Amino acid sequence: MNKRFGKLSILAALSLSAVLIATGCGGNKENADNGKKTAEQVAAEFEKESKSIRVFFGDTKGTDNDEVSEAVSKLSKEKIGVEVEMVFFGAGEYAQKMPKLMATNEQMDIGFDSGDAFVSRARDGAYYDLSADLDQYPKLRELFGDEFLGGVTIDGGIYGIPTLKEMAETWVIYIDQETLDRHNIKASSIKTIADAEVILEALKSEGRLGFNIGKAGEHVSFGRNPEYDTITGPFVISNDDSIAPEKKEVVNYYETDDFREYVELLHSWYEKGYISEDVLENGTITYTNKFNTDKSLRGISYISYAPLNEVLTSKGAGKEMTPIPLTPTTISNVSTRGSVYCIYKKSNNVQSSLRFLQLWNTDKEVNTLIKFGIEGKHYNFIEEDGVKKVKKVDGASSMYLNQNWRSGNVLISQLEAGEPADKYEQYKKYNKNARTSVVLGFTPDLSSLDAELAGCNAVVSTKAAALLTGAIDPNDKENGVDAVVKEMKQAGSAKIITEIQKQYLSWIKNK
Amino acid sequence: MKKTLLTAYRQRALLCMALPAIILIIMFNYVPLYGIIVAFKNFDFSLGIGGSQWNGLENFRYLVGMGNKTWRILRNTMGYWALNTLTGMACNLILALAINECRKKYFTKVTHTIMIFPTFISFVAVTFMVEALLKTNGGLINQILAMFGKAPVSWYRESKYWPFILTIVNLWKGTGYGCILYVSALAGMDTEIFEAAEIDGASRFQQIWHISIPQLMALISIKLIMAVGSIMHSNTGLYYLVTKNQVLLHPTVQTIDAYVFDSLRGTGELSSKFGIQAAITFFQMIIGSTLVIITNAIVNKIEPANALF
Repeated sequence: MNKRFGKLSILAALSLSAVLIATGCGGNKENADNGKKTAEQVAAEFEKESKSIRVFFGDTKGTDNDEVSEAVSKLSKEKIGVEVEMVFFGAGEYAQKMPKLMATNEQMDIGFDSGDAFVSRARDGAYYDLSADLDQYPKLRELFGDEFLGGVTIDGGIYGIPTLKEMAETWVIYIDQETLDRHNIKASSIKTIADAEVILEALKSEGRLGFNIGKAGEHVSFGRNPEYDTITGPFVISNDDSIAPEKKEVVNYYETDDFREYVELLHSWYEKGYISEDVLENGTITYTNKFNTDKSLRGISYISYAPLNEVLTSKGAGKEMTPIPLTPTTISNVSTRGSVYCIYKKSNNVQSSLRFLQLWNTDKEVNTLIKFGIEGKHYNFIEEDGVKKVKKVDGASSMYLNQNWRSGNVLISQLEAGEPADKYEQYKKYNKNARTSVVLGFTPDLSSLDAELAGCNAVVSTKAAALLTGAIDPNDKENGVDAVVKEMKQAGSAKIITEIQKQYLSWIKNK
Repeated sequence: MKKTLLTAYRQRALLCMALPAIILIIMFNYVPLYGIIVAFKNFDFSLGIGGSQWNGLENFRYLVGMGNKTWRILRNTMGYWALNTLTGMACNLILALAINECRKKYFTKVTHTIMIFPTFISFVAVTFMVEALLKTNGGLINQILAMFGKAPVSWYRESKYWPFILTIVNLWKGTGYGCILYVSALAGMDTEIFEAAEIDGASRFQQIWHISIPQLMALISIKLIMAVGSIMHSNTGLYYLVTKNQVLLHPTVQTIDAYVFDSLRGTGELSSKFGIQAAITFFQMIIGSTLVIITNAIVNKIEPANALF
């Protein structure tokens, strides 16, 4: 930790020079009178730029990344006259390194971000507001409806280009169809997470693992609450659409009875042996236990779903996997800002970057190259039912990996072997049929409550996370639900709730 | 003034020799201190440190966010500091004296080298080693307990054992390396005094007690004064990784740095709040340097020769 701070201060000192450079070049970024730029202005800005950009990705670097980067650069130079360098960091490294890099004068033009961190950094001046420029990139602008841009619009500014994919989020559990058939369980009979107990019973009778849970503190997701729409962190609002929006109240999920019920259910599963004994220390699937080596023994997980996800999941598992949806399908801030590419405010190549983002999201050739790598080396084209599809070569992921959900417009990407030809029709249908969260586009400004948020976050990442493994008795005095509620309140959750409620009401009035 | 310059000129060779080190210290220890002002600012990426708005003590409110855990976290941080400093120093000293008493140089060198190894093992690896010993199912210690017919202990759920476990891990990791300084100080001592004492009939133990330790006192007090500076710091590797950040252990293992890591980590809202991070460092730094000055003043009162400045 100390070392980090030490380095931080050096970087901080260096960033002074970054500021000087940035302010020196900032003069020509002024907007026209109506707040939007004209085509001439954009073209003139582009001419002044170096036309060589650096794009940051949050995936692990494989052996061939530089080669792919060169190929992308060549293609992009041909098509739009912009050279590109693709920089990769593994996900954990990315989260650690990026904020510090952003504060230096290192050249950075486009970078991946998501969720609450994206919001916080957009507010802290890390990202460029695209609202004045976007209209000059009609092909890019037309891709997104207002809903999709709602998630990346903060205090009136547009701070990034979301990845066009499934727009809504559904949480499902996956189980292989064979097991369901063997035990005469109908997938359609399972409507809530509590109903899933029949599956767990069946799994246990076969000596298999029941409910898969990550290690305490590793993964806390609120999307899986069927009763709520997430605003930020643990602060949620009822998703019961029969209540008028202005009557809705902001709550802390951990202080609700639904949370208590959920962890009581988990704890009862733990006691019955559906959750592995050392889940608190290791998570269900660890490097030591047999479930890691023999995947057929694994149980069910509660995960986020995208249309036709089951095709690739079944392929990975080697048998037919059935998704059982447990939450309503919802378009929310979480689902629309889950994968965003932002242009840095310090970038001197804003127009080049926008040109590249437009190319990447609309040109199939560039999109395929960034997503899958080089043809013949990382994948081959095959014909399936008369449709051209991508088949990755063995071990492609160690040579070049760029995950589908964050490698640009999913809806124009090549189909992979095994995926149905009407995949994108289904995506569109899925997006169309989803309900829209009442708080879509609402992003409270909590910058005056950092201390309270930090205090709550510390409880979430420790005590609440431990409860969510099921290993801890919810009625325990020191570590149970009451303790979580008490500590959250002491950290100032009530203040945060009041503030969000206030901002919510004024937002809904002006909506 | 003139005299000073003259002395400086006469010793120009020595000054030139020290110059690279002085420049390095200024460059990397003092210039970056400028960045600490971010603790009093609302950091904005586009404005940088200089341009960001001042926000007074707003960032320090974070420390209040610990609520009623504040006392527990401070107690753990300072408690482990005291425990590690005292046991560490005692063990370093005893080991150094023992090594010094060994007459077989070959044996000394081999053992000392082996003892230094743990220092270079990363805490991630240490975490797995400790886990191999303490795992509830199949851990080595529980297997030994089972051999004696005792019930297994869920080590990762019982906070009362951890002050001992962490102290042992810390000693195992640091002692071999920590005693180097004492070994070299002992090696540099005048052997005539020991010979004289031997002729006067002093035993080995008496020689250590009356000659070696008094001569090491200056070194011990300097190391102590320097250690005081880190009273508010703790090793995240030891208190966060090795304990696997188990919530049930928090009452006895959570320190400031581990808490900070818990509340700011991940990809959430606070992951790039430099102001808060700097405020905590500033707090640790102020406490540390104040205590260094106080301790030094106390040492000055007792034995001026042993003081640092």
